[in-house]
Amino acid sequence: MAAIEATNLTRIFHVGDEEVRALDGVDLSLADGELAAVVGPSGSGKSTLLTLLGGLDTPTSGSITVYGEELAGMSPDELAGYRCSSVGFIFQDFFLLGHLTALENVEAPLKLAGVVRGGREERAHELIELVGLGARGSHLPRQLSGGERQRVAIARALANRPKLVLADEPTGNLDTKTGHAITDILGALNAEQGITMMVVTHNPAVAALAKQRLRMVDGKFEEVAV
Amino acid sequence: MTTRDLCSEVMRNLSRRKLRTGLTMAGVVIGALAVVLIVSLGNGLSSFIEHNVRGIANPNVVEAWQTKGLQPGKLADGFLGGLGQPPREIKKGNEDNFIGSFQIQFIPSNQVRQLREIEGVRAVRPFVFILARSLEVVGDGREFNTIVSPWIQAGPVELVGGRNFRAGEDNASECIVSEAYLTSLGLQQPEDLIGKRVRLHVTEHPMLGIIGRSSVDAPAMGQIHESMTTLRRPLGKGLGIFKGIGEKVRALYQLLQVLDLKPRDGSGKETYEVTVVGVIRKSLLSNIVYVPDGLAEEMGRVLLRNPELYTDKAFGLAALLEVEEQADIPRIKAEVEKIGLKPRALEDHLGVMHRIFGMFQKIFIVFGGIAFVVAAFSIVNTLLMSVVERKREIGVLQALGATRRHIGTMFAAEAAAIGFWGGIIGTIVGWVMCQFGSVWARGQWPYILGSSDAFLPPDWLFPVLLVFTTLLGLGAGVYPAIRAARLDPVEALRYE
Repeated sequence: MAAIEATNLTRIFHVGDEEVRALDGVDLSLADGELAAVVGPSGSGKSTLLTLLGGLDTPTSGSITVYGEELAGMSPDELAGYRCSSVGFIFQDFFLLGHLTALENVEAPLKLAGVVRGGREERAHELIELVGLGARGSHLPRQLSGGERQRVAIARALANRPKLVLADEPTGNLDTKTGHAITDILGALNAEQGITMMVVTHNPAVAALAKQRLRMVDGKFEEVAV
Repeated sequence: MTTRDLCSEVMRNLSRRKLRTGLTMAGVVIGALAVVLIVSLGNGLSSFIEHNVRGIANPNVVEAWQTKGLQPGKLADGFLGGLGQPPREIKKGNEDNFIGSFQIQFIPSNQVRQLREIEGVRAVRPFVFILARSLEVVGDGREFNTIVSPWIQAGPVELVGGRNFRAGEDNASECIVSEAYLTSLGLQQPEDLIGKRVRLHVTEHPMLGIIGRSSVDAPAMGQIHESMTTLRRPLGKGLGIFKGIGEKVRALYQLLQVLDLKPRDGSGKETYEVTVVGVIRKSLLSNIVYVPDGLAEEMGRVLLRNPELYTDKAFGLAALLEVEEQADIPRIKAEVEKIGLKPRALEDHLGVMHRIFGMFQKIFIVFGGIAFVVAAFSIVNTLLMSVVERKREIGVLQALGATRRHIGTMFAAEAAAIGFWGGIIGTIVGWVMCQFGSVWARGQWPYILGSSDAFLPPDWLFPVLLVFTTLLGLGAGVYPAIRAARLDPVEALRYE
């Protein structure tokens, strides 16, 4: 079964009187366990695609099926449920909750899923270990380096064992060396745990991990190289 | 998300902005504090009245008041009731409410007889009001201020020494005094006072002189009118001023004459020598001296210079009915009403006091309520700011799977928590202030308050107030919570 199936996906924004087609009839198919990279200039619609796949936004037209679930007709609460159980987000700016420690950040999605305290803590420790931050779990985000913050964000994205991870420029705010380390983690997660990933990136190293590389220009895929 | 997680999240979020949370909470604290103090003061005073007034008034007495002629209430209505209104027509048969107000009409003898015939009434006595000046133990020389009251008006007194008045010895030259006199006189035991001869110096209040007359007749009214006109007339000019002053002095003299206010023998007081036969436990009326009813009436006759006063011929404005059973009071009141007099029992007096306090309390609670309204707006404002500040955080939570309900609940719960903790702090501070207030009040008025609490918070107050402030917070949080819940996740995540 395909992990993601998107047909004629269109997202139109209205800026004043102007109509902006952020996505213009995109078709997409991603197999289970696959890692796809989306590249393209700024404003080409890459991030919009991720928000639609992640259920943060709804398409103006077209359909998205993720593991057999049709997102287009879902209510806000159903979309929230989908985000909670099926998707993990990784952002360029990490978006950690500043008042919570690394471990508590990882626990946050578990809390939202209603996991009890004991289970939550166990899972958070496990994930913090997985991303190599075992000793830094009780630190606040501001006490962590950029690379460490992104590791926490990765751990958080994995908290509810999502089938799909969506990463928006995960190395965009990191130096090359740290970026490599993050790339390695993402590659390993895809290879070892079989998590389906779609990564929007400018980083050739990340793009190199991908089986499917998609180039987006003006809201359309320009070419699909397999 | 479990309730426990929600609570810890809420407390965490509130503690992130301690100063702002504290200032917002301050509004609720002030409101709660005000309500605690006001309600406690009202309750304390009510309880004080209940315990103390009950202790000084006779619960076995039903008063029966004349409804015709001069009455303080009607007099006030006659002068003030028409303020700002066109003059009212005096209709036939309704003169009593207007012209009649200026005439004193005692309870007629036939009505007194009817009162005596009511079943369950042991005795009917006139309502005697004596203005005393002082008590002096013969041979001691010092005078102490005092209240002299007929025995029938005594509350449920407790003898600490000596005896009650003997039945049938209505005119005995005896008195029963409060044990507070022991302190003033420097005596140790009630027995030290019993058997002592004391002089009661009693005086008549000038205004009460009018009441001593059975009526103010038409010529007298004319004289009053003439004198008043002269008194109101402007003084002349130049040397005429002296003439004017002379006229006014004459008018004043005439007025005093017609009102018969001049002292009886120039001394303006009477002295009665009586023996102390009993000492009673100290009550609110700590300087009370009780005398037998007959003696009290005699004092009244002498003071008001009307030898027929307090007899069936001129019974006075009110009668006191001593009842055999308190349970009969409602029935006896109904019969008094049938006779055409206005009945009043202790419960009615207490009821009036409670109503007055209750009214003031309600008014003050409205002021406390204003503090709560301000507090509610402050909570709304704080949370709206918080929604804007935490916009990206809300976006992140939405990305992590938070539903609208979860986001909304979190903000509403934060508002409710501000209300709840504000309520807790306000009631605790209020309670502490009540304790201090009571101690302070006892220090200020030790003899009046005794061991009573001026500020007495009722048991129901704290739970009710906590529920109220929490609901207030919750109510104030609804709009910010909706705003937060409806944020678009994509937009929220982009917010810098």
